Amino acid sequence: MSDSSAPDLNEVVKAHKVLVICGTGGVGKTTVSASIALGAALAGQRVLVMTIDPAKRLADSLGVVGKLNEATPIDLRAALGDDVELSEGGSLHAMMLDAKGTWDDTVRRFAKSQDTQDRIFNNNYYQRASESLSGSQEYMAMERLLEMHATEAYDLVVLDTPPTRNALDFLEAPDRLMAVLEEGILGWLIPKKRGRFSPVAAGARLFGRGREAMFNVLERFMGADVIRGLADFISAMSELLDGMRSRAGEVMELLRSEDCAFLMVAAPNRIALSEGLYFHDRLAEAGIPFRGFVINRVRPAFGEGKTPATPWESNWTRSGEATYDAAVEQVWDEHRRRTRWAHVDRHHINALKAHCGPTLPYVEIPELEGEIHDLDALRLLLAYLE
Amino acid sequence: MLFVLGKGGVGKSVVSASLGLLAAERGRRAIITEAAGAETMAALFDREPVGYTPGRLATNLQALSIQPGAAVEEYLVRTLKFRLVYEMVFRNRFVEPFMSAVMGLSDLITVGKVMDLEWERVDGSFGPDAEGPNKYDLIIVDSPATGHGLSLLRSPQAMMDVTRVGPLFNNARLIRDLLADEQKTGVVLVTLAEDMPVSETIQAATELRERGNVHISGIVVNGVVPPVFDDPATAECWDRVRRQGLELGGAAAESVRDAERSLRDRNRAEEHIARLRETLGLPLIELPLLSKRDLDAKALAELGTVLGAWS
Repeated sequence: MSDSSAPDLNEVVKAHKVLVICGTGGVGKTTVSASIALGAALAGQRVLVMTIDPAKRLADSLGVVGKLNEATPIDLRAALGDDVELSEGGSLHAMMLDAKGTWDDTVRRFAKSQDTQDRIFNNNYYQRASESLSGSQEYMAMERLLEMHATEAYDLVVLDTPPTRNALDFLEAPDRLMAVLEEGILGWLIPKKRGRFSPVAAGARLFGRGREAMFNVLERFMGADVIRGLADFISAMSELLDGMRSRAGEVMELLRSEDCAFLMVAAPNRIALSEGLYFHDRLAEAGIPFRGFVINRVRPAFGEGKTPATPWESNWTRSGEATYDAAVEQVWDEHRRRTRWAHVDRHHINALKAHCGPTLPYVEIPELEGEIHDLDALRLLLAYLE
Repeated sequence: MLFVLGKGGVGKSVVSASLGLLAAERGRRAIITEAAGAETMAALFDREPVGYTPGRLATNLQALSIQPGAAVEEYLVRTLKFRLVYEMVFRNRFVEPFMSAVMGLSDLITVGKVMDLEWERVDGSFGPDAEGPNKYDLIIVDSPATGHGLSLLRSPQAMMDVTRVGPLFNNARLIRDLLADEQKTGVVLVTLAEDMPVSETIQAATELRERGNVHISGIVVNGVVPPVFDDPATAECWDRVRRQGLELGGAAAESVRDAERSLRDRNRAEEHIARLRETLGLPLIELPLLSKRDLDAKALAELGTVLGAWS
């Protein structure tokens, strides 16, 4: 359903190894991601879909409940029945991401000693930081994406990005997180040694004389235990930074490469679409490949063009029976209401197309009835994704 | 104080704005707070973005956008009198996010700012013990999406658990007690009449009740499709109308299909609302779906009138 001059979504899916699906919360990003992944799997690709906190029922239907950070194979044949055409070699895996679990893996990977690992895992602040440090989820999603891409076990990895108020946060978050960890914590609390952070020196000098006064104040403010725990946490974390920094660089490289495409899921309302525009422009500036929009929950209407004010100006005729004619007028009111909604949505979508140009696919999915929480329903969506 | 909580995209801001307008129309001085960067209120009311100092939205109605940086400075310097800590730690844009996350400080400070508004008096005096009429009769907090919103309400206790002693601890306790005061603080849960939002609302309400640290005032179901053929006489005709419309074809058939869809939508919405009522037993109001191209101040005022059925 895209413009004829633009590639269709299937071509975009086929031409890339990584699809990053962005969008604000509540637009159906997870559903669209799962549906795209399912479509590619049915077409014969080995696909992994990664998602953070999906709708529980969707997770249920995909069979990934309780299994975090692990690619779980989905039995398409069992889920969809025998009459569904499955291309040779196609498979679908799903993975539910968990920020805490991925942090744990990162600590294990980059900690230079068992001692550092233990110090971090046993620190009270670690759990809190791994869950609520802004950018954590985003960094971890990227980290996981890189890892899965590198295994070469999949032809396509679809990443359903964490919900952010501003879709762009997702891209900037990892950088910001690194800046916070490096410049902030270490630059401020821990002296550098030959341009590199030295954990040993750091531990020893954290409470050095020069900073004593400052820590006295902080101690009065927050309590001595708090400061001691924080200092220990920070110095242990400093060991991980070199490793994390080089990973972050690799992630950016992957995102800018030919292998990767960004798609945005948006709802046809002013707020969602203006964010879509902003995101599109910023990605272009950052040299990151933006490849199309999926506009979800477009309100359909039967009939096109202008709807007359009363049914009697259409092919309805008065019966003369008052309640019957009143019922026809109510039917007509519903018709007018829905036609108006459809026009509003159309107006927003046209504004988006006018801004972003005709070379992108704009796929529209109508507002479907009922909930989408199993593979069969996802397959219905596929019909619109062509 | 009302904390307006809900999943992303359910219309928290619209409900906040409507509540504010309603209170203002009844002659109460109301203020709506929102997170920095959102600036939804200004857009809804077609005004210049409001900043950290309250800006006017309508008569008796103001808005304020809580900027963490400014709030931290105010909190540490004015409330806790720790200018040195502020200078050393929080003026550093890299250190601040870390401290905020690890200590849950930014959440606490956001709630703290709301409490400050509660403590402001008309005569300019300030504090938990200040006398005289409040500067604001109603403070509406347009909260972040559910998960984060809940952690906002949890933040005072979390801070107390971490610090156990000292000025930060004492202040967190003051805030916690004010949140727990049923006379002063309530939560409004906003949802849509759809499967997932309703399930999340039930989950959030259950969690709030279990923790018992804040009172739930009620639920607002936003964007409810209006009833179709709700009078018996029309309902009786419906089947005949339907058959005839489909026979006629053309626009008549199209209108019948639209009406059928509306009926199904309405039935589904009613099922979800019934589930909410039965499970939670809380006061609940339904806001109609608006068909205007975009919400404007007039539409908001209309919504406010519907919300008025509540108080």
